[in-house]
Amino acid sequence: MKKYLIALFFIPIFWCAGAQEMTVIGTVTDGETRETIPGVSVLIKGTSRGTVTDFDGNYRLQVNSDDVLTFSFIGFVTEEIAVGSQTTINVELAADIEELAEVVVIGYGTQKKKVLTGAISSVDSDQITSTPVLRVEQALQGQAAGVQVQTQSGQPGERPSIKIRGIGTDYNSEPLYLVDGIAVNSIDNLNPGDIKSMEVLKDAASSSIYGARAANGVVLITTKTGGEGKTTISYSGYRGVQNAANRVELLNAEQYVELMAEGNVQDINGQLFDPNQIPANDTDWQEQLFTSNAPIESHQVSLSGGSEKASFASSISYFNQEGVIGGDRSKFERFTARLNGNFTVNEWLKWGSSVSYARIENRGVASNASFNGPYSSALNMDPLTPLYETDPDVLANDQLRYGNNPYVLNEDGVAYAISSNVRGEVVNPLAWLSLQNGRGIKDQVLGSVFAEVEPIDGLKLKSSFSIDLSYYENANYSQQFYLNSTTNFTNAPGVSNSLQRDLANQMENTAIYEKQIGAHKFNFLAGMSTLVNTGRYVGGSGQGIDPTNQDLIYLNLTIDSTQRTAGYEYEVLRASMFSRLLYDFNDRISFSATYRRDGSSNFGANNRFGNFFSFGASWVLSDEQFFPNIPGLSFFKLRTSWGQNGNDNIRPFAYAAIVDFNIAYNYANGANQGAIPAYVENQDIKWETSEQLNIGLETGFFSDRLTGTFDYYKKTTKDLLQLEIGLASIGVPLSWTNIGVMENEGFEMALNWRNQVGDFKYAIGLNAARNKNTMVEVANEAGFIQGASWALAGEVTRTIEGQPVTSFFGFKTDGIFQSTQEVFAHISSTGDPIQPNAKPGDIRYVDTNGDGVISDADRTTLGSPIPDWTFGSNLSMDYKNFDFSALIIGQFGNEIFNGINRPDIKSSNRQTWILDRWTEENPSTTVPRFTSSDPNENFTRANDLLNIENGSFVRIRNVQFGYSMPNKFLEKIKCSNWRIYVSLENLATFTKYSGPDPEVGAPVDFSGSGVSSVRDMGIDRGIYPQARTFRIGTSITF
Amino acid sequence: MKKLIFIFITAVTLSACSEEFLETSPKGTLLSSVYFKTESQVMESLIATYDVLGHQTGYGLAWSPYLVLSEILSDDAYAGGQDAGDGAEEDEFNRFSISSANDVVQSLWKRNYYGIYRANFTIKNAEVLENTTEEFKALVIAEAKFLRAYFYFEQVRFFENIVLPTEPQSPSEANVLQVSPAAVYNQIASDLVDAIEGLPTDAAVKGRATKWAAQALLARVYLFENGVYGTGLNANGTNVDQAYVLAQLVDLIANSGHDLVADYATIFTAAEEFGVESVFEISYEGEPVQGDWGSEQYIEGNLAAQMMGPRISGSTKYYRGWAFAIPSHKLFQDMDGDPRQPLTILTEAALLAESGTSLNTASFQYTGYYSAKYTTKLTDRGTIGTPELHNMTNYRAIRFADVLLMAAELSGDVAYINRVRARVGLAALPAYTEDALFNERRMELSGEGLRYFDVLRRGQAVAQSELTTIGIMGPNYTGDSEVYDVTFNTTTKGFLPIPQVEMDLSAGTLKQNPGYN
Repeated sequence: MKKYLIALFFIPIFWCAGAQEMTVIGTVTDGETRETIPGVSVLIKGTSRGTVTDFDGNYRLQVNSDDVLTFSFIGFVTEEIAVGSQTTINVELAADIEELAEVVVIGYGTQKKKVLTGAISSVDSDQITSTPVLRVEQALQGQAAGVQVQTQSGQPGERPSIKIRGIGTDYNSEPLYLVDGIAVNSIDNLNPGDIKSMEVLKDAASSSIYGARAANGVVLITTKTGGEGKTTISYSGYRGVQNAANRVELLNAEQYVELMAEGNVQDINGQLFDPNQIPANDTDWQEQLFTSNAPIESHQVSLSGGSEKASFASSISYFNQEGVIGGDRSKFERFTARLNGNFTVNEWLKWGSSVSYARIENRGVASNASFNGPYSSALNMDPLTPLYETDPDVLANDQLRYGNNPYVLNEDGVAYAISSNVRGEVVNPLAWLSLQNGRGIKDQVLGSVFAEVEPIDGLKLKSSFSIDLSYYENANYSQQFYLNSTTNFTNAPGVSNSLQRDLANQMENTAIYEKQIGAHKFNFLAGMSTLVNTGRYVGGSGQGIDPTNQDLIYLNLTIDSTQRTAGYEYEVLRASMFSRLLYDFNDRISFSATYRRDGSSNFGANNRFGNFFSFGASWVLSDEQFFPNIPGLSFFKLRTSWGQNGNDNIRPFAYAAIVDFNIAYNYANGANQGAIPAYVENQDIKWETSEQLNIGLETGFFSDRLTGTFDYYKKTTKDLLQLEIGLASIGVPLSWTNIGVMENEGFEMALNWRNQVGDFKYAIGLNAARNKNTMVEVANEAGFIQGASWALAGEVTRTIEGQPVTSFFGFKTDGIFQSTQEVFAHISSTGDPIQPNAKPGDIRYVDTNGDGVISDADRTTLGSPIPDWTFGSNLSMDYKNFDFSALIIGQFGNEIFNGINRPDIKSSNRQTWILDRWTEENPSTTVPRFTSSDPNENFTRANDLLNIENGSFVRIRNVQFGYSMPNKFLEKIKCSNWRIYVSLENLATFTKYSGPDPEVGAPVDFSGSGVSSVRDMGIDRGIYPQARTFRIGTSITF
Repeated sequence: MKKLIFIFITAVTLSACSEEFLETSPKGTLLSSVYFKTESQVMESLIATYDVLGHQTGYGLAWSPYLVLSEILSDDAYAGGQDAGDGAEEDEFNRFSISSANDVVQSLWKRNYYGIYRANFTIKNAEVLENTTEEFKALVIAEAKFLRAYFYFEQVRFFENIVLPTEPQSPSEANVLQVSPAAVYNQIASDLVDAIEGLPTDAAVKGRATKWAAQALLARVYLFENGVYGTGLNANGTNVDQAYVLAQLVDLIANSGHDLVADYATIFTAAEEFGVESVFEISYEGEPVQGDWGSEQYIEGNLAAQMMGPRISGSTKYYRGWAFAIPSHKLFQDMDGDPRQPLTILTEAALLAESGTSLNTASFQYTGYYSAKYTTKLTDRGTIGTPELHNMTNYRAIRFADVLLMAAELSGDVAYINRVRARVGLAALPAYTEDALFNERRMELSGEGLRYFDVLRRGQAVAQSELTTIGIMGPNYTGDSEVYDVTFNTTTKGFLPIPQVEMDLSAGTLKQNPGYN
């Protein structure tokens, strides 16, 4: 099917007519039911000329005698008939059972979907490019059941996190990405338009051919290659504007003064707020901070073509996005170029190569930070402070704020105002933004070459060699500034520069032998691969530059004695052998078995190698004679698989105690170099292994117009790799260790309906997944793993045996004391008041350990950031030349930790829900009283009343309208396809969450430093919100 | 033929996947299993042990400078800080209402065990070192034992019930019960007796431990143990009693060459770093710049001095500090008339007059006073890196004046006290009394991190009366007067809680100290 489509695509558009012109009529019917089919496309092959059948299945078309007609309709096999001398051509279309036999990319090959034994979700280029995505990962969002794509924040270029079938490990649960078979660390460099298909290998049997690193699933990305036919050239691009989709409701100036005065809060001079003051300003800091109509654009030109002997695909693309916060201080710019070529040298030798280059320039601001986040400052800055301070008297004489301090000016020389109410890390967010001078530039070259020989029939030997070389340059400079008494920098202005070179070399040799004996098909694969990752970093910094002159911001212009250099190097080696047997009988019963042995230098000699097995089987029951004839049911397949996978994702030499030389002590004669083990040695550390059972069901109804896929899985991850936190008395940080067992159990379903009524074609897809995560065992003495912290409240997530990984952790509450009697009725088992110092309006905490007092030992789990259900739904409709599509995503059953305010800074601004605070007149049951002293620690103790919110949401991710130019017009302008569209992203979000954005991602750490990305999930510190984007775009093919 | 070549190459490469391929070594560093086998490498681990003396925070944790915390615990200083929210942890110390989850407590606990581990590690490697001299071994072990004693003493004084590893432990061996304070004190005494034996009278370079430093530290340990417990010190068979300790000090005073500097005002100047009065000193420098915010354990600067500096702007003498551990009005009053008062306490008026600015910001628990000894002098400011992290003021851990006063206390000889008084021009006292001794200690040594333990070792009654201060705000106080009221918590006897995280990690093996649940 796909081959035909591709062939069609490359067939020359313009027809040199030399034959006789005539009229053909006919009727198209369903070969099985004999009913006529309306809406069938009847095209003259090799042209875009044609018609569709009418309501009664009839058509009429002007043709030439040497034309070939193609009849195509969704759910049916395309027919081709040469016209010859016929004037009436009636056609019976056969139901397309091949539809389900569409080919899917699996590791080291492809397989018919019909005989797959594993659970693989596939997204093709149409899906990727029809809804233009900013990043490749987004193409998977809402499209594949059980694949949760979580946008980290709205900052341009920020990498979304992908969780396949839940969180598989406490540390880094991102899948392995392979681009055309090359394992890569990031796919930032990929232009979405270059992608032909993406396959997500979800079950262990599918992914285990990548054994060692596949424990969290595998994403296979295949880039476009050329095909035989005329060279085509196409352009696609869009431009758009982005705006903040949502604002947090905060107190205005009047409400702020009222609250601060009521709570006896002091300003920075130690003065109380006067409740009767009439605020001179009412600054909406969010309004000030958000950039309106931040630009986004993308352009791509691609070229492809080929002959029998050689084919190629090439493209260049440019993408640029600025953020809704910070404008060009938060931006992502990408340029890519690619050339893929395939050559058939002779009967037995094929040769292919691909090379791509990407340049990425990135600037960013802290996107989810309690400290020094621009959005966090905007949410906490008081509304009384204006954006600018223009009064020369204040600037000259207010020595505490301005005076001789290096306060910050905007481009026009106007001073950014400094608050006289709030201090700490809460600063004028625009002043802060103006100081962000860092930028990163990455140049990446990916290249690969392969040769494939077929020495005897059915045996293919393939060798490939690839490199992934990148240079990452980081440049930053600092100037003197004074944002307030806490946040300032008065040292000499400095500059820093660094360069990191990373190189991955991958070599693979595979042998595939295919043999068919009667109805028995065998496919045997054996192979080996080696992967060498090396990297080197050099960096330097110095002081004493003039930051006002861009030409002087260079390291060599810094004062010599302040120049410092740094550097490091790493190497990781991996070697693997693998084999696989695929067998199928008559496309009906199939079986697969995989064995892979991996070695990784990340482990000590004791456990360097890991062995991974998997098995799978499937049975297309509907092809069996005995299968009952159920009306409507056209396809029914059962499959099951079991397999193992590994994870070696830890820092190099984590098993060994390396020496820490970054130690010095000064005697009277100056610094002396010291040395001490950096970690406790753990030679026994071994692979993390996940085992997964998968049972699936695939069905088709009504000639497969409706298809349904259902999967149940249970995945157990053992020997979780974890940077262990041990008793301080060990005296040295602990190494990585194997810390426990985690389980993910769930089911997924995907339903797709597509149909055509006349010119109206439509398709509805719905996928949903239920996942339950349990930390079955924590193999340390404590029985838990420490989590992430929030502002100054300390640890607010924790992984505890028997509960979901990284649950929220804090104080459980039981309402609010309404009276002194209630305070004294809250007693321990010995009859003493549990909170003797509480007053009416304070939170009643639950004494979970029953010791009669409220202390940190009472903290407990308060909910989970992991959704019970995730779902996605897409809808597409075509009517004549118009098309419409929509994508809706959602999740249910998770909580969010609302930590956007800084309770430790009493005079910080608050969300408006605080207006419902408890007072004698307002016996609130949801918000405690507000006082600056807060003796009951209502606001500073992380608790379920104020910090834990329902995080469920439904989001209309994308809505798009398109129009394709009519054929007549296309012929005139000599192009085969031209479509224009408008698209709207994040049109609406339905949620109860009070923060800026319910998609609260977690930073993804790929450095192996042990900073767990998982543990930070769902903590909102004022997350950079996602934009609502309006785009207008076009694609045109010549 | 070509096909055959290709098959051959494939077969060869397929079989080349062997174990050797995976052999590599870390780049730019070494494995500890092969390091620490030569004199210079063992010396590096000793330097790493000294390095922990300068740490003022546990790895990855909150700041916990000994000087700041012990001052805040005492009646000589309040927590201070920008406002009530800034340094809430320090304020818990101030009010003797310390949560076991207080980060600073955890940081302090962790920091000392890092020092202890490094001392244990050094001793173990020195003991098995080959190709070396007995002299080298003995010296390294003696220095490491001195340092181990130093860390254990700080740990047991703060936490009382602690675990006592004397060798590097694997994680599986580490979860052990706390030992009695007596066991810890005996270990300390034993290490110090060995150190006195093995340390030189003249260190190869100033900053390394000497016999004199070990003698003085032993006296400090003896006095504290004797005051709080009085169970005696058994140093591996040697009975370390009053006579033994006094003899050490007499030796020190007579033979060490240490002496009082002539002018009290110069003691805390850069010129007197490692000076004649310094029996043991912890070094802080602006270089090398190895750490920054978030990795402060790697920096070489004095965080305590930064924390204790005034919140001043535009000064010609001081750069901006954070006004933690600000002296109390009680101390100011008690020192009235003593010539050392202006050299110990910097009043706001004097500060502004001296430094040529009119701008100083009130802090939390504002008294108008700042430490004159450890502060943010511009001359001590680091010149590269983050200035807040690179103050260069050394901490005078043991001064000769302290040695004299300890000798006075052990001998009852007023002459030692009078030698200290004479330096600042005060009249000689006629006779030794305990009150006179402790008063002199306070006048001489305030603001140096000794007061709290001097009070604790005089018994709970004294502790309660001295450390509970109600209604003494001082003339310049601002804000709520209640924030200046401190009530000593007798149920804790003045010790800190065992950190909650450690209790959790030990799964019940570690027991909480009395007075904390």
